[in-house]
Amino acid sequence: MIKSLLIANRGEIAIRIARTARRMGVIVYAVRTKKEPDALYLTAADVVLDFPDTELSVSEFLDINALVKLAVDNGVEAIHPGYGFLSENADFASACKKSGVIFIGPPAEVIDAMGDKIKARAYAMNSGVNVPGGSKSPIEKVDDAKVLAEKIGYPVIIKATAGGGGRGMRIVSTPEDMQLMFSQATSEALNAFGNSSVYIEKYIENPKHIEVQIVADNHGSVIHLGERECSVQRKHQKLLEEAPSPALDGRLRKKMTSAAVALAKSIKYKSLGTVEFLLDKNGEYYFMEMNTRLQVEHPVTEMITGLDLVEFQILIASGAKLPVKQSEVEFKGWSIECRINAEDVQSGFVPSMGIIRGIRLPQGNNIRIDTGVRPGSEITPFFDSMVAKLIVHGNSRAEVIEKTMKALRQFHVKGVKTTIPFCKAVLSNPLFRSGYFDTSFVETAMDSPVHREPQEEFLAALLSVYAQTHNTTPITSDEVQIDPWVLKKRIRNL
Amino acid sequence: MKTTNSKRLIATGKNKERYSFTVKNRYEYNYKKEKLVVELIEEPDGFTILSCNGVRYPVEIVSRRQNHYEVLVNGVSYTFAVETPFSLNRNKLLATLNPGGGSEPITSPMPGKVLDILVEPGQQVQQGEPLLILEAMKMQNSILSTVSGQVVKINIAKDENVAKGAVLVEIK
Repeated sequence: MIKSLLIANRGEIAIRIARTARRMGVIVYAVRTKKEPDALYLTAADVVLDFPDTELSVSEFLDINALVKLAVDNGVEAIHPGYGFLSENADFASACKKSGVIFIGPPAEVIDAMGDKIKARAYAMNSGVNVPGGSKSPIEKVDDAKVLAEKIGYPVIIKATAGGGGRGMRIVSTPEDMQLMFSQATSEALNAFGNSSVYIEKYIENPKHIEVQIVADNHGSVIHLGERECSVQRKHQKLLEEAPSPALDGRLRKKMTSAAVALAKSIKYKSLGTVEFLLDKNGEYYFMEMNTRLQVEHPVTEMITGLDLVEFQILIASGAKLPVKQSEVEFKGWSIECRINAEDVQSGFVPSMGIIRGIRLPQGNNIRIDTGVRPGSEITPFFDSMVAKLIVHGNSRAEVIEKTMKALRQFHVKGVKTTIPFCKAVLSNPLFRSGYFDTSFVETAMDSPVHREPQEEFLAALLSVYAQTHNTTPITSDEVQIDPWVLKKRIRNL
Repeated sequence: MKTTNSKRLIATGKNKERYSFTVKNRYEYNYKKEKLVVELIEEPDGFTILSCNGVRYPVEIVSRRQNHYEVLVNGVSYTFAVETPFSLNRNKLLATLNPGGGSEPITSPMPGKVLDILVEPGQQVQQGEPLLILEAMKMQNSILSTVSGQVVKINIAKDENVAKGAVLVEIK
């Protein structure tokens, strides 16, 4: 069993990992950076290590050598990469292995196979999973892109070979747009991943985004923990997730989860992973990609299964067998996760930088909040803009929607603008409630990006008038006016 | 012997929604004959609460420029201009005397770096046409023209960092 663990990450996920690790008796090491020396996540660790001064301009949590050295120098047994940063970096996994540090995640070869989106497509095809038509090798020239796009038919999507998180991704609907989109995709890919390689795939219009959570140990057993519905997205960034998906019936669920397990088995997958699918209007599903890490939205799966996914990661990395069999996994009720980001929704979701001056969290049974900030924390341009994740569980979809709505009404953040009013708008939208929404939902089905409570506008007007009155009324107004009779007396007594 | 010192204040929103209040004193207002007792309370945990007839709402005054306010109620942003009936009428009159005419500024929706400028001064552009590429949060965003017209002025250069709200391009 692993005895000590370095978390090569920050924010809420560092706290989330530390919580489970410490419960399992593992000593947790966190890394302090100069960008946020008194961040909340440091308080969740047993030992805080300072990130050494380097001349590299890369972000601390992307610095493979420095992180591995930190672990080795301090005698830490394992590294957990969290999500983002180096979580899907094969070089990091192999650097850990070379230095004798356990990397909590799949082996480097598997990360590499799934990280290269073109290879991943090939593996998926070989294991019998549907993939959308597209290129078998990277596309280097715009002209090649045009030829291939003609062949598979517009619209097509350009994706970064090393991609993820929506970066380096562009949808092209006509040949005229190809030039601009191609150059944007390649330069964005170069910036984000240090690799400008892209490929082209048939674009499935307005699909649902559904992903299957799988867990595999080092002894050959692979199980799935059901699916998550992540169709509420904006520019390929997930905003609100739920489990299970309202779009799947028992038959389709069985097909998709079996496909995910088959793929995992065929590539000898180990640890925790997610197979992402696109589901079109006809109920046909296509492999999109596999994420070889813990997902941001993993809590919804934990809520409906009662299992701790980080615990599984640590157990598997220690070489233990999976503690549950497929037949023992039970799915109970429904769960929703709202990502509360510091973004100004009404100005087109631009990041809202600033200092968190106050937080009021909802409380109650079946409410879980994963957060990495507290009053005084700063939302900086260095890291992502997530403030918290609100995760709610209920017996049915209708019930959990109501509960989440109620929780959001009690959730207040002062100092930065957040996506709380947006999440409320999603939950109160009739199409979302019907379950028949797809990835075009945010762009096409929402009349307003924010939900307005009754009387809100009136109160805003009242507040403005109140503020104006208090700014323009002199302090010696009629409430504190001196009585003329008193004044007369005073003057007489002078 | 207190004199009644009530006056009217009108709050006008972005979409010309209008709320007219009678100000009795600093803590008492009338709206459509309903009496409102209002107080702004600073709570120990840093929150600002608007109490209206005893009902409490979390609010925030984001900015104030003269008589223009941006406020948050439940995290939703509203902008209002507060005016007396006299200044409201004067502004209406001024607006009819001097309609439009200026150029349309295209502003930066977020802080970022200009990666590429796709237009030149004097060029005709259509509404929705990309003007420049702005990189923010490692994402490249096309800044689209909000109007059709001629590019009169480009205020930024390639590779320049811009603040939120900076005027990037002017179109007439």
